[in-house]
Amino acid sequence: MSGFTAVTFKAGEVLFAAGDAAHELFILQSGDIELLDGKSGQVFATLVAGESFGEQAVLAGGVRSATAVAKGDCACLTLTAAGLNAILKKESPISNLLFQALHLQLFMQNALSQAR
Amino acid sequence: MREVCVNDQQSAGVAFEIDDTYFADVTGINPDSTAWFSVCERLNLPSAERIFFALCRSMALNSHVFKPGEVIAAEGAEVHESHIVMNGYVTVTQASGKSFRVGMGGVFGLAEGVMDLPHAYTVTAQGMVTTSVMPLSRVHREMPRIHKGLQGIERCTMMRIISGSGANIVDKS
Repeated sequence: MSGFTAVTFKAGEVLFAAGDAAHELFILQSGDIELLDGKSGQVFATLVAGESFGEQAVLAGGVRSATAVAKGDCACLTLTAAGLNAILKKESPISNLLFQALHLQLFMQNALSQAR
Repeated sequence: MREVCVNDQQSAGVAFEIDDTYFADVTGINPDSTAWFSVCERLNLPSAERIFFALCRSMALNSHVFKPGEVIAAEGAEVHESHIVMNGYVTVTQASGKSFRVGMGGVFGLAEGVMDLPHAYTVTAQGMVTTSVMPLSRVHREMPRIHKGLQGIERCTMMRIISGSGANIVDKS
């Protein structure tokens, strides 16, 4: 896919740490990734092949809220913030709206899930 | 973004809303510009606010006004359009009995509508509520043309939303 770069990580390797500036998003192609809470250090999610992660911070231009660690050897596709913006600029206005609104809905859903 | 636990439908607590304190500070700035990024950094805006403000800047959607008590979406019903709350508060309920108050920035029916699933929540206007309406028919037309990488990210995002909603729905796509 144009704009994406293939990268690999060894077991235990840290992809990014909570508080880091968000420079790229990831699509996991093989292996598992563990996401650790930035405050407690506890694993709160294990991602499997096909899942994307890190896109919210990239979209908003913010910092990582979690730490991502390779559980085993992993292969990912990465897309930089600039690459994402370049792709979004080529998309139709409605596609851009969809992308932003879906991530806003995810923020809302996460807040509702925490409030349960 | 303010997050408060809400279990009582009558509670004044808000489970989710965008803090629009700094909205005026970004008005007139192109979200694609470095000036936008600089202002967001200076104001230390959380991610949800950045996305919502950018959304508002690029938004050319029809708006809809709901009267107090009017049902915006009904849990289990087919999704015809998606709503983004632009003004006012809504009550969000599920058959499980959970109830939340949601304000500006609440998005309803989008992930469900794109994935051809029913509404995950019943959404009722608490007072006068203005929403922006996302035209799902246009979204469905555009989807096949969207960059394949974006499609994958969007699908992953939608699955997280659907999974998090706890709704008793099955992916039919």
